[in-house]
Amino acid sequence: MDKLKLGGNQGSANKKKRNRRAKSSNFIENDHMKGPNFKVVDKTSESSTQASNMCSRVQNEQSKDNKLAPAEESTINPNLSESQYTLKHKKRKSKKKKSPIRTVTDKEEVSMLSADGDIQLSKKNGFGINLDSSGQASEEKIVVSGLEAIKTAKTKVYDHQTLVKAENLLKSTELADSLTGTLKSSIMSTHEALKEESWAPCTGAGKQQRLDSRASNEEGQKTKAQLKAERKAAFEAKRVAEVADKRMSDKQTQQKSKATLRAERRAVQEAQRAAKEVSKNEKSAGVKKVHKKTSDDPRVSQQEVRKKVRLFRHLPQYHHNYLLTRNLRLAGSDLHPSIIGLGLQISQGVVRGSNARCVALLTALKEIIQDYITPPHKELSRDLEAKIRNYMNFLNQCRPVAVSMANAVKHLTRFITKMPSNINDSEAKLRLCEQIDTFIKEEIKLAKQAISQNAGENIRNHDVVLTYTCSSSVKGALCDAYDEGKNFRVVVVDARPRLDGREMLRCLVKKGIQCSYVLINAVPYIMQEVTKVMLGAHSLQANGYVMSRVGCSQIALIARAYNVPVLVCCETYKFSEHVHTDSIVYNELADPNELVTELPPNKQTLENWQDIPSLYLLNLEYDLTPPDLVAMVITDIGNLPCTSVPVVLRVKHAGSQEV
Amino acid sequence: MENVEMEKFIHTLKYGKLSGSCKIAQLALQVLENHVISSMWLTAYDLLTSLKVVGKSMIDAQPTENAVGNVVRRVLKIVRDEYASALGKHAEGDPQESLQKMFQAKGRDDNYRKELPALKEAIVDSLEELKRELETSKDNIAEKSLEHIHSDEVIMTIGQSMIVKTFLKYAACRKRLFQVIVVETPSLSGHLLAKNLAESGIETTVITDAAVFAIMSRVNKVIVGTHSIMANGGLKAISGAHTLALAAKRQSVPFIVCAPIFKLTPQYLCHYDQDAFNKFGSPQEVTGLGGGEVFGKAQIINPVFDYVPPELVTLFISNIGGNAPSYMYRLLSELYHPDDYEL
Repeated sequence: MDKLKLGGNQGSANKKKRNRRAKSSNFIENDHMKGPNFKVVDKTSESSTQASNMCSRVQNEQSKDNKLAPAEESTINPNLSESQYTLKHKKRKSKKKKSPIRTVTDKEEVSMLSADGDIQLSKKNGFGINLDSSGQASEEKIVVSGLEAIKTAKTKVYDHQTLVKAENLLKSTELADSLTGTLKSSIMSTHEALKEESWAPCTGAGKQQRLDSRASNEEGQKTKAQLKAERKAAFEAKRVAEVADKRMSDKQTQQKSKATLRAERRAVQEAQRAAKEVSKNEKSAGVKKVHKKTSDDPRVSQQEVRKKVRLFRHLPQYHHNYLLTRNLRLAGSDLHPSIIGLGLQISQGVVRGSNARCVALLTALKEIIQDYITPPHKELSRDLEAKIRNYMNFLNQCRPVAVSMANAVKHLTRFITKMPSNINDSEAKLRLCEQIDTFIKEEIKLAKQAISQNAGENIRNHDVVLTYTCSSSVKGALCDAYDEGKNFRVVVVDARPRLDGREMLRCLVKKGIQCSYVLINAVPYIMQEVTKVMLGAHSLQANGYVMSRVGCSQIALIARAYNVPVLVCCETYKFSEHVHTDSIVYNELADPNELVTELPPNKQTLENWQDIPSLYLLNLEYDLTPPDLVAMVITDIGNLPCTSVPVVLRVKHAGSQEV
Repeated sequence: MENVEMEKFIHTLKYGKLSGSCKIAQLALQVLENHVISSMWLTAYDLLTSLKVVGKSMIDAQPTENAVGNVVRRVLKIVRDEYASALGKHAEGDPQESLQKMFQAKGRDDNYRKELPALKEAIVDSLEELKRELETSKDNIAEKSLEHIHSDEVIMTIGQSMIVKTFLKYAACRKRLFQVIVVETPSLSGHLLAKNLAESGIETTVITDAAVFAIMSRVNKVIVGTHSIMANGGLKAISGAHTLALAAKRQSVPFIVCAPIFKLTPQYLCHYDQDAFNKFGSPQEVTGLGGGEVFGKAQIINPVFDYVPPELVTLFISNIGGNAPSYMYRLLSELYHPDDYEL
């Protein structure tokens, strides 16, 4: 009990005395701490000075106690057998000859103290057990010192972790259950006590001083609570330790040799270290997969797009995303294989076009839902939504998600969250798949037909219709109009580097429609003979601006100069809440190398553009067409002016609320 | 001998082996100068007739190449002027009929049939002056760049123009810091200019033709070269310039044209498809070399030039100074004689 007069000296001793004593005790203690089996943690120096200042009183007591330990051992633990005592003596003798190398008899000690650098931390503080001098410390001492160690790790960084680790270690040891239980409770109580405090993490020398002064002020108040808890815990521990000691001594009569013990020690350490590595890797890998923004491998990403065009630095720069999927494994990764496949297809340009990407995404989501099993203790509505959000993050990194895809997923998640929790899994999944099917059918396929019908009414005989690159809605409209027997000409305009217009030309020529093909620079020349312009859209914004393939705004401008009406074909599910006013703030940057690849040999001037420091290449995906340049928007619900978009959005939203 | 040279020049013109109006103009001038020096002529009238014949054959080789016709007309004007000054009269200030002149009508002696011995020398001297003017026009224009480019400007240009290149590089040499955005044309001439400018240390960005309107809101000035300046102040420029001009007008960005004055032609545009205005390039430049079964059934159109109406142009910078498009017609009278407009 005399050991535990921890509360005694607190108020009385002044700071200087404490520090001096603490420092000296530190010095003496630290000498013995270094050994081959113990890791030296770098952070210990900072926190050790801090901790030492803060809890020097406690330290002092403890160090005093430790020094007294050998003498008191025999008195406190009368249950030690003769053999143990002799062993102790032998060890003491051997230790005096050799350099201070740790020799520990207790497995428990080892596990408690060695595998965790944090507990090392506390040892560095001059705490813990002076094992050299004592030879064998009792369990009780371990426990007490361990507790002290935990408490003195007073950085918030270490707080919870240390306690948890101590918990785990205790679980893995062979200590008596009762002992573990009391320790646990004591740990919990100290944890609570610590929570009440507000120690800032000790990160720098400047902070230390502040903390020191704070420590001295607050110590008087707060550590009392701690110490009380400590005392209680120690008392409990001591009582139980006496009981456990008996069991311990029985085991120890097995007379293990020094070498085998050392080997055992090392094995335990290695096992724990390995376990730590594995858990760390898994954690970091999981984090990397889902949350890493732009570069997995910083070395490679630096080569990718080091040059950022000034105006577009705020946008995610293009990067080859095979890097993203390089480290993914199909089995055992967080992502469903169909999402990985879809991500790759979209990023490589295999699946292109707003509608196509949306349909592909919904099909993949359907598969995911069908394979989905609600984990125990979780609700389908919340868990599935979280999973889908993860998948969308991944897809966003493969290629920035299209507005149509985002709208479709928003619609789906709204449905998921409204799902009643009383229905079982299979019923829920069935409903979700039905919902997806309905969405594809109504919003995409039927909408396309409706648009074709509406647009067809606008095309008359002897019309010359100008269209730009490849839009699925316009393609459908033109083909249907031709099928109705109308006689008209089409001018297909194309632009570098994608040259999607060739696909459009191929479809129209196959149909038998009379076509011309020009590049976008020749549009003012050809616009004289054009009677109407029909464009597709990526999305329509709430302020009436049309977001579409880069170049559409130019064509609308030229058409306005020649007084040619511009019609935009767009499904209503692509209407979005965005209200941007220029094409720079929200856009997608495509691969700048597309501008310089696949060129004939006499035109490869910019092959090595990366090497010229002042040279930048810009490859935009989208641009915004102001509403005054557009005459009419053809949608599945009718022909509207551009400015009606917010009306449609409101009606749709109201409709979905009812559902 | 001069016939051989002329034939060679006509040959290269016909087959489009020459590029760059300046070079073509200089070569045409050389041919004409040789003709003046070496051919047999006694009166100015004879000279004028023979020059017209030579000129016509050169123009017919490549009708869309206005530089040739312009140079021919300049030479004719020089001859007429020198004749007038040799006669003792000062050069006819305004050959076009002004009301005052009509009131005070005196008989003008424009037969050009008098024999004047000093005429040849005078003409040759003037031709040398013209030659010098052609050679130094590029640098003359470049020296004016500091008056038009301030620091931290964003300048947009299209394709590759020698004049614009020297213009921008001159300003960069004088430590004006600015950025340039180059529109690559389908022929990728923009790439050459961009590389050149970037290697001189100017921050250059290459964009596609389709991104012109998207970027235009952040551009401070558009500076382009042109193939010819029409009589009304319009432009006959590289295909894509009209889009640039329209976008610039929409965003209220000044559209500046740098062109030496010999590019001013007395032609007016009445219709886009009028003779000798536009020419068409090979469809292969549009379609590439594959896809024959699809492209074979479609009409491929690849115009080389673009007309830019004068309302879209803010300023002309030439070697004789800066002018608004509305004034360009007046300059015609200084350069050419009205009788020479139709050769």
